[in-house]
Amino acid sequence: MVTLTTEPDNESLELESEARVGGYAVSKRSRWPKIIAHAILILSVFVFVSPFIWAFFTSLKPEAEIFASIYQIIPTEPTFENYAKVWVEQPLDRWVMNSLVISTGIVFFTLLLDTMAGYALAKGRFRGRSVTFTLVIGTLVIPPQVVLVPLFIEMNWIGWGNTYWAIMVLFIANPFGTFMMRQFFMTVPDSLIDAARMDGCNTFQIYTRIMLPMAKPALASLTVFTFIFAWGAFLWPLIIINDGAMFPLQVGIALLTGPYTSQWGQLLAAAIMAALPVLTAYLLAQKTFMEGIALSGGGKGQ
Amino acid sequence: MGELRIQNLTKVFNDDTGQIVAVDDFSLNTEDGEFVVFVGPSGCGKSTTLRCIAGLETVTEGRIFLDNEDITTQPPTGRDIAMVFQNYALYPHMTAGENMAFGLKMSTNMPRAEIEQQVNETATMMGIEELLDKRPGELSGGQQQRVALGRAIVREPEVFLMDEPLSNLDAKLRTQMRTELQNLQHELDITTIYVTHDQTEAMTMGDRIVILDGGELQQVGTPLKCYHEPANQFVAGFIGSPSMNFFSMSYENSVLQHDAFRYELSQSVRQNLGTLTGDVVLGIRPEAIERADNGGERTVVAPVSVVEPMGDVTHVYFDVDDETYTMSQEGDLVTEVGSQMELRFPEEKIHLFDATTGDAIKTGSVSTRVETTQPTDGSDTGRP
Amino acid sequence: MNAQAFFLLQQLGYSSRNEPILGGALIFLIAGASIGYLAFVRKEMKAGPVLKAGSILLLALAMLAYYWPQRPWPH
Repeated sequence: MVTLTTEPDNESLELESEARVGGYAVSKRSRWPKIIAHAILILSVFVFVSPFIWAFFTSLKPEAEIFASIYQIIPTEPTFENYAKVWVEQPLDRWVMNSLVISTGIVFFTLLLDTMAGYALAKGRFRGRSVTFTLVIGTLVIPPQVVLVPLFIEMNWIGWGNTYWAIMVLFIANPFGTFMMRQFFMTVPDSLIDAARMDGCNTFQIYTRIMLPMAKPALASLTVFTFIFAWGAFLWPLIIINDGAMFPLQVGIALLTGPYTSQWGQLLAAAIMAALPVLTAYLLAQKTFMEGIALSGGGKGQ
Repeated sequence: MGELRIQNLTKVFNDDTGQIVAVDDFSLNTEDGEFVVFVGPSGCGKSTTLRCIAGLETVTEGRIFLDNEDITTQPPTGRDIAMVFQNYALYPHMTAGENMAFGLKMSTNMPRAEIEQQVNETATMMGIEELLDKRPGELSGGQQQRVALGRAIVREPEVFLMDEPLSNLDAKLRTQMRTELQNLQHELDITTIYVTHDQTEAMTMGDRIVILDGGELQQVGTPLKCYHEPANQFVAGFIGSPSMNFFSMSYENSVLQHDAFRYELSQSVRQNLGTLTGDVVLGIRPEAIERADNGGERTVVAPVSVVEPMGDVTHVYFDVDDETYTMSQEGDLVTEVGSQMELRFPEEKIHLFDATTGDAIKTGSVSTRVETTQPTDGSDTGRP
Repeated sequence: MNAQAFFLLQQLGYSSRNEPILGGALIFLIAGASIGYLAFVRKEMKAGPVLKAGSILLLALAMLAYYWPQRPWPH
């Protein structure tokens, strides 16, 4: 409680308010707030990182030892046996290739369609623009699981079962990317487009020569977003693909655990390898990733 | 070369709420090398007219001719017209030099070396050679403005269009750029259409000014003609700062009657007015009002409400019948707030407007002097 | 000729274990060519090393997918 003294004595007021907050937030002299904040942060980092570390160390253990030494996190005799085995015994190279094909396709077509759609929705003048935009955003609220079965039937009906196209077509032109690109293009002044038209560009040239180069930061972050998302896609590929040669990495890894035998060592080794591209992508593009989040969040206000 | 002719231009926007007529039956002829300023309040259709000339908007009705060639339906590139935008519209991902070269690259088959040479020549003329390798983000507002101008000049167009190019600059730079722009236009001798909402810019820069309001052409003429002989009440109020004072009067029995004073007209003016009776608006510019210390004819006595000394002149605000009006007097005259002033409205400087249509009935009779010093004006197409 | 083309079309996006990954090759080719266009032809893009290397990498992947049976590691 604060008791205001009758004299307006600044120093005593300050001391009182300091006493009130008990050294949690305001005081410059106390180090406790910082210590507590860091403790919380370190704890949460540990919570999030430890499974990854555990998985990495366990993947270095021989298959037989995994359950025997489950509480001993660091293996006594680290071995890369699991990594070699999963590579030789499973068509891992093909799965990686599949994942690469699918991710590349999804990223490429997402960028292409989302930039075009975003540009049209931001700068186009056509009837039903706001309705279209509302519909695009509206698709965000439909949980993908709901439409899985109809989609499965549809894909088989057009003969796309077990193909890359079946996986990709569901993910390209995602509404989030469209929204993000629209937000970006909204920040581009109209006069720039007018200037480009005066300079002799047609609509497509404005898109390739003015809009795309300007959107480079937004494109980079959308690439990283989409790549991480596409690389981790699991449920839909699991349903639509039933040929082992067409599995993306995530599905292939998941099916290493069967009802009767599970090769945990191989699975973890493969999982670690599967995480590497995403990790690399994130570390390489950390800055663009952050910018992308800022862009999709408050792009219009900037 | 560079003769722009606009015939009955009409632009209608279709909105969700209905139709908006942005430009209504606009006609204008410009001569080669002329500096024409479009001026009017925001939303008056001046920018839309400019965009129609540029080809950025489709024309609803009417035709646009450049050197007797109909360009109404041509795309912007086909028109040989360059435009300078209010916010410069420089491409942020290109250097200043690339910005300037872009138009030539896109719209001509000029070899790269020639483009480069032309850009360098223009840059030298504009004094921006050392900026060519910089991105727009690294340039100050004035420098960006120069690059934007350079981008328009390097195209060597028949017509320049400028859409409020100075409004993003600070006041000092704006005055400087104004002069520079005028000199440049004189040197290049390219027909220029300049849009502004600032009547000072319009007065100082234009060979002729075109005053628009509500999508309709109000008057075309030299700045001084528009100032001294406004075609209607809107032009009279818009041109000149501080703006003209308007008194609602009724004209009966050769006398203008205001609620607070009466104003007698001389024989010659009465003859000009003919049989007119009813409501009229008397307009007089603040600087035309004189101090009258000894009473007499055509005077008003009014209390002073605000005094604004500007140095060379002093703006004095006075009240007549609960309305505030302005007069300008020499800066060394001292006037006290609250004191009573006797003011004379010289008859040769008053304007009379029709109270309903706003059309001018009588303008200040300085026109003879104006015409002798400004003999170039012969192609007025404004309202009578 | 037509039958062969139809056969190829059917194989697009699908191939069993030791055949060329035609669909993959196609996707890599399209993506690589487009990015290559932006990186090397469109000067306005001011492409950095990432874009240039990326397009070459994608074209390499297209080759790898097309010559999948001859991939250079034990299989």
